[in-house]
Amino acid sequence: MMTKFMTFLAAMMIALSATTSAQAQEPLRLTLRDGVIEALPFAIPTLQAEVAGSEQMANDISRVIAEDLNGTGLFRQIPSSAFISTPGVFGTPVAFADWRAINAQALVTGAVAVNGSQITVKFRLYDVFSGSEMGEGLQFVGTTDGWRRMAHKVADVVYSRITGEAGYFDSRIVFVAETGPKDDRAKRLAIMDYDGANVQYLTDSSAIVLAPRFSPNGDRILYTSYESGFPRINVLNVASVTRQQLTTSEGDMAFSPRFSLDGRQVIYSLIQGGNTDIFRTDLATGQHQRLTNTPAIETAPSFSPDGSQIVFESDRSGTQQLYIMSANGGEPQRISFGNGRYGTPVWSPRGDLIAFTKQESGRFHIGVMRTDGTEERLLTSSFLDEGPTWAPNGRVIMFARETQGADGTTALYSVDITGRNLRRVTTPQGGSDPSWGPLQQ
Amino acid sequence: MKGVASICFALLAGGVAAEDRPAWMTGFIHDVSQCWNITQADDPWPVIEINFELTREGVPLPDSFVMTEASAASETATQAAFASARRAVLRCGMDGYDLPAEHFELWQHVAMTVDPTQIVRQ
Repeated sequence: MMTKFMTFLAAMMIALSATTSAQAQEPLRLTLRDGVIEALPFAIPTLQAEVAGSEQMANDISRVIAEDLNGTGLFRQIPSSAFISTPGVFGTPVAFADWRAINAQALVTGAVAVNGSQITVKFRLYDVFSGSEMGEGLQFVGTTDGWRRMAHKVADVVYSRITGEAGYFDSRIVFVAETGPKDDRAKRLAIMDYDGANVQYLTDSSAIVLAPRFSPNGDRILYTSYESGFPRINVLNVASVTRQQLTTSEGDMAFSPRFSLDGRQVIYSLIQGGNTDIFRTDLATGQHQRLTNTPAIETAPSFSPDGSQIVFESDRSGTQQLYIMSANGGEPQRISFGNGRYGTPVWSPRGDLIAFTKQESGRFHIGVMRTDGTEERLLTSSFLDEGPTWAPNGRVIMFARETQGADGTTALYSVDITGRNLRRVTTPQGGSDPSWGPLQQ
Repeated sequence: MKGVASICFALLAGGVAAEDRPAWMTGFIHDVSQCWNITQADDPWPVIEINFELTREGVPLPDSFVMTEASAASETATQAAFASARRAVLRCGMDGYDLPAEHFELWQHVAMTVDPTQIVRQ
């Protein structure tokens, strides 16, 4: 009865609207709520070499831009073998019909000019189906040894204009490079581009190093060193590769450091009298402040992006769980209540999620949850996954995975916050403890 | 009278159960949804309203697209949402949407709310 009535009502409204629409020029109002989630097909013809001798560089930059976009899982490169035409001179009109015919939804064109040690990269991004340019064309100028960064910068702009959020390609990772068997593993601090290129070592393997953490602007790195036989926190200047030990009480063991948002303070764990609590130190004054004071083990602190709160792990409840407290200390609030143990929490740069390591039923997972502990999602599962770190845009998480057995190896992986696009990051040796730096300036 | 027309159209599009909408209207929304590729990644995703025009053959006019409303989001996210919605309408309408010619006045001008908030990422 109700269905018949609704059908009648709908029919009446069609008739009424047909009449009134013509009179009032009202648009047809619709709501689109469903869509598809699939990689967006894009074309990037090899950037043109504007100056003789620039051909190789143009090829390399085109390849890295495509690899960046493909690597997100959000884009799918259309092979050049499918192209119907190639763009004319950079900036001339585009034959959009040729690109529509191969279902390219986005088109990147560009040109490269190498003059001595200087390189200029120009590009334009087109929305093929609307036949329009997405944003204005841009030009980057740099040195030839920084050509990968220029490719990453182009890819960041393309990513941002299509997805609506900041990119993360022009960023670096600091991590612990590992070689040798599990029971005698050499560990060195290393830094690399986000995609595993340009690895540079910052320390030798004479002392065990752990948990490096970038400063907010990427100029310094905090890490834990066992050079003295006990864990101590060092501050390393990335440009000069010089280091300085963080001053803590004599004889105390300090570890698990992380910078505050302004880079002026460090939060970390300190073992005093067999008890592990969280402290904060002002780098300029050397002044310390205790933030927790319980018999439990409290560690892995991480600031919220606005600097007002700290998330950390503690076994004060009897099992390892996650807690949030004010940045000045005070009574914390437990946010993890699922089965298993939770650790290494890291606040998202967006502020909306907390990434963590979870151990349950003999498996390790990387997961995310809302800051109130709701909507927990496990993104990975393996013998040992741990140590998540956020991409600058808060969309991707990198972590370390170790395989089982005496011959087990460690490697770095990345995964989208939806759990899609799990990828291994290629490094020369094993890798653990990644920390994702900011977008470079 | 204009207000009555608006209410009726709103009811047709959103207030009436899907099975009670005219088939062509449901088909139109369905067709566009098949081309709406949600690469838009900003969280929360902005809700926008786009206006566009169709030819008598049901082909969207590329130059007619305008964004008339947007929920709070960054400029980059809003522009990306607009481009994504416009791309969807244009791509699936290349050969013309299957719309009743006798009701051309009804669908010549379209105001489409693009709302991704109910789409679960996982």
